[in-house]
Amino acid sequence: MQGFMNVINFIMDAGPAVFMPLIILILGLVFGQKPGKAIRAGVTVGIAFIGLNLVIGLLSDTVMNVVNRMVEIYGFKLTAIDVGWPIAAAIAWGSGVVVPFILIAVLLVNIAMLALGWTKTLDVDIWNYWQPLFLGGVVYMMTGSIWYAVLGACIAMAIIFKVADMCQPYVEEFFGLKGISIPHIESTGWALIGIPLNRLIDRIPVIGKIDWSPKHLEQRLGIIGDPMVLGLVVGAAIALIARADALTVLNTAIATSATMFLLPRMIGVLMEGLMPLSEAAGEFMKRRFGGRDVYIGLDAAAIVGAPSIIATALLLIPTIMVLAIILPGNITLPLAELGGLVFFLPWAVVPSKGNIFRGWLIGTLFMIPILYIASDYAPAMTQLGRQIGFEFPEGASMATCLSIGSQWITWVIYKIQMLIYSLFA
Amino acid sequence: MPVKKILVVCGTAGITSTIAEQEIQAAARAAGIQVQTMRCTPGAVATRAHDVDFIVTTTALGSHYGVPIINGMAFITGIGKEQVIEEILNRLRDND
Repeated sequence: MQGFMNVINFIMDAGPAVFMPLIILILGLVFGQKPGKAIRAGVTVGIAFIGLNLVIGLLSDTVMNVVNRMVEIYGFKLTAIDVGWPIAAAIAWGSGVVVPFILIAVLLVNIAMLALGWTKTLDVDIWNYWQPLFLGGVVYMMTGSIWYAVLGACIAMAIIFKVADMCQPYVEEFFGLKGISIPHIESTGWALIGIPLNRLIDRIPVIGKIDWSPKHLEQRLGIIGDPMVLGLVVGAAIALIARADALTVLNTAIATSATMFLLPRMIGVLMEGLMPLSEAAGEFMKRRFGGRDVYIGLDAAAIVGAPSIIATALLLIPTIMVLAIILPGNITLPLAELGGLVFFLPWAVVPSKGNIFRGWLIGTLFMIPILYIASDYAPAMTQLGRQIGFEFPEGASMATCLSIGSQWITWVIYKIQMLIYSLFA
Repeated sequence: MPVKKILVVCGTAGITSTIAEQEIQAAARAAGIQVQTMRCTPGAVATRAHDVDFIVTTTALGSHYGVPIINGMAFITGIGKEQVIEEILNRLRDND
């Protein structure tokens, strides 16, 4: 047994670019793939981690160092840099020996809940298992207990399956997606807050009457909606604030733009590698439950392209920057996910049927806890990232992201788990 | 025959659009048609739509971008995938 654990630890120490291909290969074979296809999938996942690490290197050399300068010059307090969901997801998928346990446990939870009639959501969105994987990865790092990590991850997903069921009529009505639900923690978790908030605002005089539903606003806002342009502007701005020389300003601008363009590309590679597994798991689930009256559970990516959501997200870009600066105790610097605010906003916009003013107001209220939770998660995310070999620079700056901040359900579970652990450890 | 361009749109330009893009490329290859595919986020559609022949989207998109939009949700759910592939191949073969 000791020898076996030594082998496992040796492989895990080699980093996710080495152990993830092995995990994906083994899981692929378990789900009945041909060896050739399973090997190719595994190697593709390894390549994705190499690619992600290269982009993180770029981000570290430029943006994180500029922020370190800002800390030195001004005592700048926004030291937790939003490096974007692709890096958080990569950390989660690469968080080691807990990954296969959580994947299989969450699948089993979904199967059990479907069989018992506790949920109608059949989650084929294996990719977004990264959110319980992140929770599990952090809990495992803090406590060293695999089963405790698996427990928290399963509770989080059981909750989101129920919330997805509850929200399905809204998804069907607003987006016209019949039989689709969205068991996506960072997005659908906000339904529990957005729907009651919307009812409350209905009762407020004046504010409750304001309705902006302009046509094509997202087109008038033009190229700023393109992540690469947004990256250019934000990169240049922070380098200017850090009083960098002209060359550094230009380089930081183009590097930030490159980061925002390249990270989703690298995630595309990761997805290519995960696709056979995701397909196999989805097929497996559909074979068992396809005949029944179920909702197919998808990523919130399926709904965030709605024009009213895009327009609300663009209005919130300046809002969240102001909030980041004025909120006492916040240390999160919104950056890489400024172009991806749409994911947190379906439940700010949908309850009022696409009223952009209401979306902006409720979205602003969402952004406050998102910033605080992202701030709170920063040390854990930075430590977990370093542990699996991502090279964040030394200095004051830490890595976090808004997606992690928006997963308030997993954050509450994480805090409860750590409290219980501290009582008994 | 000029190679047609498809813009594949999803919320991230990385997850579901990758799945759709792979399926489109595989179907076109099987049919012996060359096609160029690109991915982007919904926020970038407004500036990129005029460069392409049509859009395949796996997210709920507005309909005012001036090029045809095909709903590619079937690539993700697996329901009705054959019809969507047929529709895309027909558009690729269509030479007007």
